[in-house]
Amino acid sequence: MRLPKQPGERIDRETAVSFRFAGAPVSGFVGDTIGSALYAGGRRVFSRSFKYHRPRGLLCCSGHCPNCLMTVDGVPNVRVCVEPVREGADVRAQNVLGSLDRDWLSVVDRVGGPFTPVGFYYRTMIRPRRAWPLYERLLRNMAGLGRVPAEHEPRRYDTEHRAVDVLVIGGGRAGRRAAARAAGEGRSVLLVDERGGSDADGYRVLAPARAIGIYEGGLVPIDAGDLLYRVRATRIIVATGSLEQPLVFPGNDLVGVMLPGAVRRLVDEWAIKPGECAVVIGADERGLDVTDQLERAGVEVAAVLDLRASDPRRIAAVGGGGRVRAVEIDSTERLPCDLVVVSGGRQPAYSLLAQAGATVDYQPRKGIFVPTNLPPGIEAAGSAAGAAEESAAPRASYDAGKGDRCFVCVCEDVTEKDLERAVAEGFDSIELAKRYTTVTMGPCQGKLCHVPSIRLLARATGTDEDAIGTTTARPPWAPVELGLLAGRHHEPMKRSPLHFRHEQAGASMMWTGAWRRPFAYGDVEAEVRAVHERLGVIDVSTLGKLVVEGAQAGELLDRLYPNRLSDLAVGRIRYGVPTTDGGRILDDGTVARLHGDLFYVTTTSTGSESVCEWFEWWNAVWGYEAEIVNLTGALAAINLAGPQARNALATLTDADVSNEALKYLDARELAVAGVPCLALRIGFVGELGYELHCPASAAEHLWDALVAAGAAPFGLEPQRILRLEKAHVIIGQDTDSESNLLSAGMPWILKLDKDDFVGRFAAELIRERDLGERLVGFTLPAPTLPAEGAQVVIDGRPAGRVTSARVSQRIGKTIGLAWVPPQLAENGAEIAIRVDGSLARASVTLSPFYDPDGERLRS
Amino acid sequence: MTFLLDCPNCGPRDVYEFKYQGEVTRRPSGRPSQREFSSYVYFRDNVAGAQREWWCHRIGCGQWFVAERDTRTNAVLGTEIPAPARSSAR
Amino acid sequence: MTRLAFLSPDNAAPGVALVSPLQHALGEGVADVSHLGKLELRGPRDAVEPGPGEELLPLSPTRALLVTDGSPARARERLHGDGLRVYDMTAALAACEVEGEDVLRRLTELDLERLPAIGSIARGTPAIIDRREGERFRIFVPQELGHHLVEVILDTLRGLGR
Repeated sequence: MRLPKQPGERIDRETAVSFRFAGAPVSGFVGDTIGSALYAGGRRVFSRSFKYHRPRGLLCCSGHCPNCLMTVDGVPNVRVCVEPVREGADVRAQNVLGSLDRDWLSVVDRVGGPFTPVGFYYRTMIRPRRAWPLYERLLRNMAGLGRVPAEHEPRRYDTEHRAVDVLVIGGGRAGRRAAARAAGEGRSVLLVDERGGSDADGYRVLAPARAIGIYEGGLVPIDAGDLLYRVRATRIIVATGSLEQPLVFPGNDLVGVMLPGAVRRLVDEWAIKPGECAVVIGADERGLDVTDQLERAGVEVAAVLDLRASDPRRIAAVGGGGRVRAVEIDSTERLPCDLVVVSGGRQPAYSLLAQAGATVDYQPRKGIFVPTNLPPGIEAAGSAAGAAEESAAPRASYDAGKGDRCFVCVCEDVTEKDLERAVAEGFDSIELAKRYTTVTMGPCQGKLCHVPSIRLLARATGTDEDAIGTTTARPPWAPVELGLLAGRHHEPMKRSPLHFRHEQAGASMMWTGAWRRPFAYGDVEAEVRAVHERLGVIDVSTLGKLVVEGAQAGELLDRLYPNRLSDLAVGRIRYGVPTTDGGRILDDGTVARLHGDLFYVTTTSTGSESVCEWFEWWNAVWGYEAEIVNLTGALAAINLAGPQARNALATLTDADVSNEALKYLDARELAVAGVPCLALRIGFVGELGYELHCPASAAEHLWDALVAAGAAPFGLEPQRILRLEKAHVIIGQDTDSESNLLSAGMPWILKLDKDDFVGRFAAELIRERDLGERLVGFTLPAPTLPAEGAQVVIDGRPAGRVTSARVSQRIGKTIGLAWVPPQLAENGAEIAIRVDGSLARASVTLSPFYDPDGERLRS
Repeated sequence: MTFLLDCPNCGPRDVYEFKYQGEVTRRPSGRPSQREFSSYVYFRDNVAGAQREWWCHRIGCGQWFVAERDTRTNAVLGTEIPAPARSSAR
Repeated sequence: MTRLAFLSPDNAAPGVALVSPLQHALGEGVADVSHLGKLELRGPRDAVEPGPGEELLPLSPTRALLVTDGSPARARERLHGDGLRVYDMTAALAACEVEGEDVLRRLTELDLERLPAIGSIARGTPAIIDRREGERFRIFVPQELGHHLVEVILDTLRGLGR
């Protein structure tokens, strides 16, 4: 039943909308919210409270309080008082066992009270400890805020960037004025408002949308439902207004107790009669002039109490069945009513300002906290700035010390007594009391209960509001769906130029950092055999590739590596291991000299960016004449390995690739299959091999030619086995951030007769002292296979660990690398390794397991 | 963190375009004592206030530069490309 | 032969089929222009005059990207010298074009009025973004992330109902 047409009403009486609530049809109009349509249809109980399952009705009608939270179309915690009606929506109550009107869990309120004081779960339900999971499940089912549905069509959330000179948050009078003024000055202006509004002269409006918080750098994320705007503004004007505050008195959570804003909206916007007979209690003009709406709606006003003029000690709402039936003020007679409109003044909504760095001051005459010390670029306008009208400061509570139950926080069901108990137990500062009682930690996040809780704490501690202070304001200002913050999910996968060849060949792919690489193409052992016996080919395009070019390139490299590189001959390659100034191994790779002033450096796949940055940083400090260029993506790299490698290569190139012309550790430029390449003759996998670097866009052509010449593709897993047979160390696998060159078994790399290099001080110190662990090889009888990280055990205590282990068909044993104490770093030493709960006996070996003299590499 | 850092070439950008390399420190020259060496490798001033630190515009022009930033507020007080020191001092 | 000849796809023999990093990524609304020649210039790039079919995108006082319709290897020969170092990045960078400021606003925080610029696109991919005519944009990214970028652009277009 609606009132006659109201001036400025939002409903379109011509267009009906219908939806379902708890299975029954409900009708409303376009312009209604789900809440207003339910109220117009006679519903008064909208939810059951969090802990006590008390019936709750509309309180604020502004999307601030928790009283109207329902589940709509499977989405929990929807504030139906501001959620527009939708045809066919399925609306249900949440957190009830039974129905809103008959919730079986309300027994908690009647019986459980004495057993569930503040913090009860810290005292009861803690023994036996084993039972806690059961208690937890029980409690979880009895108190909550709706359920996320198990199956839910994922919504799409997008993100958009905006930049403006001026962002105005809040489209009320003050906000609009500020926006118009800034637009008039020629600035680009954006205004955002929670409710509605359209573009105006000179500025754009985002509505309905909500600013979630103010972050560093003038960043304001704005929630527009399924779109998140990331707005950067040079000036931010906060015109978020002020929030009507409830009063704390017995019966203040009964259905029928409302804030003036709720009454205004019900009457003005949705033409609904809020009740039959009302009592109005207010602390300022705005709280009291709601009598206009009440009269217009034909509601009898039984009494008006102006707290500026009188100061009662007791106000009590008396209920029946959870609904307001009457109000008592001091010792006057009961005033029968079904609606109590209360306001304790309007607290500036300063949260965004505080997030931006403003402080707050208490104004005792008005009873409000007001923002001050606004940082540069942040302004406040309107009532958010504290320019509120005259108001009375309400009492902390109106129960006249009688101890009747009054609610401070309706979100979390925290009572006046809970706060007093917290103080009595020693939680007497606001941050402690908040965390202990959970006041302000519910859906309203303190909008309705922060200031009242401060007043109560001030009274309980015998201090004042200034001394108590406020808690830290943090984003989000209102609840935000996690999906909106996440946005679209795209894994940034780095693909080698040969990625699709691997997929076409049926490789199983794996992650190496952000790269996708082939684990193997089918039979790992067959791939290993192919390399040992004939010819294999592996895509190593992910390796980092840097050019260091310039008159002082050699000097720079000498200072970045423990090796000497300036004396490397043109056309030759050295293995290089850069270290930190603490002497720790950073990465490894090869350095080839292509010209007097041009070096070609390779790094590990996951280290390409960090090594390039490391080199660039040092050179920014030192300023050698050298250019460092990252060519990792520019070039593909293919390793052709196996006894047939030279024969196959010779069929694809006119260049002389004999062992004399292109010997081990030589670097040559040559064309292979018509593709310009740099060939590095190195031997990570222990057989005759050539690493061919070519332009990325020609990689497929080169790969196809090599495969056609008889090379079998092999993946990372066979490569791991092959390199392990040679005891080749993989940085990051066999070493960690503490490993140094000497302990990792690479003393020849250190050239201490150079001048200063990064890691020099540490290298000298490490040399002088006891080395500690050493990295060694070991063998075990197959098929025992220790896991990576398996412990090396001495006298029952951990003394080292395995870093790599594989079964090698070629060697006929399990082989691996492990860190062991120095006294065991000797050929033939026996070590015990924990495998599957028992100890396996392994034998240490300091040389490669396969072809220890490297003859096959050099052939 | 969402503060804006002023790349000397590109202007103010979101801090996530950059890589942080840490406080500007002085690398000892010659043969430092173990104490000097350890201080340099492991200790930092870590001031609560204006700090000079190295940054690189990694997802951008690649420039290495020094910024002065108030570590309490993330206010960036200035950025510059320092002249390279052709010595081991840092 | 010029130095780093193995960097230039131009130096491949006539029968070699060159492949775009975006070959499997494309969809409606994104055009592949990865074939364009691209040279990274380091040093006194102010003195460089782009020739016919060439465009110079400044990236910093000492770096620029020269984009060319023609042969990058020949452009390199012309430019290299006098303190200017030239690196052939033709194969290193994938390039595509897309229409619409609204798309770009969902991909990057960069100021679309101050292009060309080098910065982050799609949450962390390094990119050079250039405005062509009107609301047409050309985006260069490392080739290993080209496929990923196009997937993100196509998804963004879907989100805009295109």
